[in-house]
Amino acid sequence: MEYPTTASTTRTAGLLPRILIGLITLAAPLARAESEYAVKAAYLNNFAKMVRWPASAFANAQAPLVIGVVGRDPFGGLDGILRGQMAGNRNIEVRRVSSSDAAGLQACHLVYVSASERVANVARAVQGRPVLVVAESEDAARDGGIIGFVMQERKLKLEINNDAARQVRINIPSDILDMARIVK
Amino acid sequence: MALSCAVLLPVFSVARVRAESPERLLNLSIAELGSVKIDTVYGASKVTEKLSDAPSSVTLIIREEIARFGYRTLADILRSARSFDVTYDRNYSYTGVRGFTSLGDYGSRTLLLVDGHRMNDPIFDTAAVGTEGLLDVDLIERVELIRGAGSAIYGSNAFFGVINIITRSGASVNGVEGSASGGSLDTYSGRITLGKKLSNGVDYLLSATTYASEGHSRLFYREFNSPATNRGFALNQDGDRYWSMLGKLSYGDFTLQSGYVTREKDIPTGSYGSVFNLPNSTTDSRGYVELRYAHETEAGWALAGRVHYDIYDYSGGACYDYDTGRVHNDDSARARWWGAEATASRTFFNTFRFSLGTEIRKSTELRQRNYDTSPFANYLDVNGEQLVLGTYADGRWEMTKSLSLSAGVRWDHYNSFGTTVNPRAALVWKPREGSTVKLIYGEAFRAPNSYQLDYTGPGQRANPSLQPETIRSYEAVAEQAFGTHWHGTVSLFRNEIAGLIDTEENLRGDFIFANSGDARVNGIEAEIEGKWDNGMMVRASYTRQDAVSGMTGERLVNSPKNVVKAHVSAPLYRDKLFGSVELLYASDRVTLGNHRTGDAWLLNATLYSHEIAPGLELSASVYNVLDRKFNTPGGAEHLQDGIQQDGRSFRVKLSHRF
Repeated sequence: MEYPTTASTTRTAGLLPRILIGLITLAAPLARAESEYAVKAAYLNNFAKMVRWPASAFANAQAPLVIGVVGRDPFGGLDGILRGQMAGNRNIEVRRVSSSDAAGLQACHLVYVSASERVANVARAVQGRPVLVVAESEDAARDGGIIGFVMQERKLKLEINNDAARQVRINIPSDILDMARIVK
Repeated sequence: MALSCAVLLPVFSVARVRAESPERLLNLSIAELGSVKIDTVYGASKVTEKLSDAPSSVTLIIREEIARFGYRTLADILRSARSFDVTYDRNYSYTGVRGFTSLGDYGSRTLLLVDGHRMNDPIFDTAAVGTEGLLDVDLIERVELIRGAGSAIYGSNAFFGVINIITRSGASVNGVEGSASGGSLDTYSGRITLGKKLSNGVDYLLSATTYASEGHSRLFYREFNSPATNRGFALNQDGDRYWSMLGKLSYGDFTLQSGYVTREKDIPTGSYGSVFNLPNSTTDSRGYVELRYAHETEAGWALAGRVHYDIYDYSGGACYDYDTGRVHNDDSARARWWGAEATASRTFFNTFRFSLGTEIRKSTELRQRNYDTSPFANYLDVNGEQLVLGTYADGRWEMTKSLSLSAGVRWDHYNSFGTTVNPRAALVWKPREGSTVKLIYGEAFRAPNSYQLDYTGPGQRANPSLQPETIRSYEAVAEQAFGTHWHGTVSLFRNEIAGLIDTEENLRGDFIFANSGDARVNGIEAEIEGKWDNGMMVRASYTRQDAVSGMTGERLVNSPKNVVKAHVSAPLYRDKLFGSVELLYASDRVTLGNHRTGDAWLLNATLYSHEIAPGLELSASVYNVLDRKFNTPGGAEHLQDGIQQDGRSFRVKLSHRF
C-alpha cells in the first residue's frame, strides 16, 4: 500500500547557509500548504491535458474537452480556475451536470463527482462510454469510478482503476499511473 | 547561485510578486502535486478550513512527529508546542496556556476533544492529558491546537484554547498492529490494534492498551522529614497503571465510536493532609459511546450531528490522622450524562460561509461522596445536576481575495447560573502569497463545575451561587513563509481574565469556592520552522509572557516569564531512521510559598526507525538526557512548595504491523 515517491532532490548539506538565508531574506514566498480543492483542480487540469480519449469521443478536432461537475462545486468555480487552459488544441469547458442527467453526463469527457453524490450512480449512467469518472469520495476507484482522491499524510494521492479506464478506451499515461495506487 | 542572488535582493521587491495560488498550482506536474502539503484544521470553526483561514492561531502535530520524538502521552505532545504548558504533581497533569497554568484545575481551562467529542467531565472539568488520558498516543492521526477563546463555538472550557485530537482510521492500520514498550521505573506498556477498511466501505478500528509503571521506589520530600513520617521518604508510592480501549466503526455518513480508560495512580506526596508514606491512590475512569453523522447535500449544506452517552468515575482512598486516631477516608465522584448536537454549514456565493449549531448536555447523575470507612462517618453525599443548552452562529466572509472577516457568537444556558453569551471575531489579511496577518478577539467562559458548586465536606462549603469565569482574549498574529521550506510566526497576545474561581476562607474558617480572582497576561511569541522533503525538520520558538494577578499586580504562581522550545529531527538513514532532539526551557516559576523554582531545562532525544524490516517500527528515547533536577510548584493541597520532576529516564518501544 506504499505510494511511489519522487526521488528527493533535497540535500541536507548546506543547511546552515539555508537557515541564514531563510532568516534574513523574504525570498519569493511560496505557501507551504495549499487548499485541498486548489490541488484537486490542478490534478483535473493535468488529467485533461495528459489523458488520451478515443477520437470518437469528440465531434471534431475543434470540439472542446468537457469537464462536468456533478453535485456541489467545491472548487468555488472550477470554470474560473481552468479558464484559458487548453488540452492540446482543445479548449477546456466546464459544465455543471446533474447526476440524473445521463445524456449530459455522457456528453462529458471527464466527470468530477463531488462528495454529495454517489459515484456508483454516475458510473452507471456513463457505463461503456469513454468518460473519465473522477470522484472525491475515498473509494471512488472501487465504486465504479476510474480515479479517486485519497488524503495520505496531508498529501493528496490518487487511486486509479486502470482496467476500468481501458475498457472504455481511455488511455491514462504512465506518468499518472506511476504516481498512483492501482486498484481493481 | 539562485540562493546568493536572493540574499542580495532588497527584501520586499521579490515579495511583491503576487502569484494566485490556484494558478501556480496549475503549472505543477502530477508528481509535484502529490507532494503538496494540505494543512487543514477542523476544530477552529467546526468546518474544514485552511490553517491560514482559521480565525485562530493553530498548530498541528501529526502522527509522524509523535513517533519521531517519542512522545508518551498527550502531555508530552502539549509540552512540545508553543504556548502550551503541562504541570505534573505525581497524580494529575494540568494543562495551561500562555502563562496561565493553574495548579489543581485539572486542565479545565482548555477544552479537550477526541474526534470532536467533548472529554471534559461535568464534575471536575478535567481535560485529562497524562496517563489518565483516554487515548493511547499511537492512535492519534493529528492533534489540532487552537489558541484563544473558543466559547463562541464550543461553550464552556474553550477558555485559553481547544485541543482537538483526530484519531486514526481503520484504513491507516490496515491489519493488526502490536506494540510493546519498556522503560525506566519498571514501566511497561502494550497495545494491540485491529483496523481495516473493507471492500463494502465499512471502516473499523479496535484497540486496547495496557500500561503499568512501578514509579520511583523512593521519593524524598523534605517537608515530611521527621521520624513520624519516615524521614520524608515515600517508599513505593508512585505506581501508575491504566488500561484503555478505543473502538470505531464507520459506514457511509455514520460513525459509531466508543472509548474507555481506567487509571489508578499511587500518590507519594501526602496531598490533602493524608498520612505520608501510606497507600493513597486515585482511580479515574472515563468512557463514552457516540454515534455521529456527517453528510453533504447536493445544495452544498454540510450537516453534522452526534448523540452521546458519557461516564466518569473517580475514587480516592487515603488515611488521615484525626485527634481520635487514624481513619481511612474514601472520596468519590460518579457522573453520567448524555448529549446531542447538530451543525449545518454552507457557503453562499463562494464568498460567505455560514454555520449554525446547537447542543444539549444533560446529566443523569452527578454524585459526590466523602466518608470515613471505619468508624463510618459520612461527610458528603450530594447529587448535583447539570443541564446545558447552547446555540451558535458563525460565519466567514471573504470580502476580497486578500481580506476575510470571521465572526461568531454562542449563547449558553446553564441550570446553575443562567445565561452567558460569548462572541468572537477575526480579521484575516493575506497581503501576498505566503503571508498571513490575523487580528483576533474572543470572549470565553468556564462554567462553575459540580465540584465547585456542590462539594461540602470537612472544612469545605459548597457555593451554589458561583458565576462563570470569563476571559477576553486579544491576539495579533503574523505568519510568513520564507521560500519553500521556512515558515515564521510572530504573535502578540493579551488575556484579561475575570471572576476566577478559587478557594477563599469564610468567617467560620471553612474553605469556599468564590469568583475571587482576576488576572492579566501580556505576551509575545515567535516561532520559526523549517521542513524538507527528506523529513528534516527544525523548529524553535520563544515566548515572553507576563501573567499577573489583577488585584496585586504580582506574577501568577506557576508562570514562567521566558519559555524556549527547540526541536530538530533529521533523517539519519534514508527515510528509515530518524534522530530527534527536543529542548524545553522555562525560566523560574513563583510557588504558592512565594519562592522561585529555578530554571527548568529538559532535553529529550529519540531514535526512531520504521520499515527497517517490513512492518517494523523501533524507537529508543532518553528523557531528561542531562538529568537536570527541577521542580514545579505544588498546589494548595500539597505541603511541598515545589514538586521534583523526573530525572533521566529511558524507553524502548517496538511496534509491528501484520
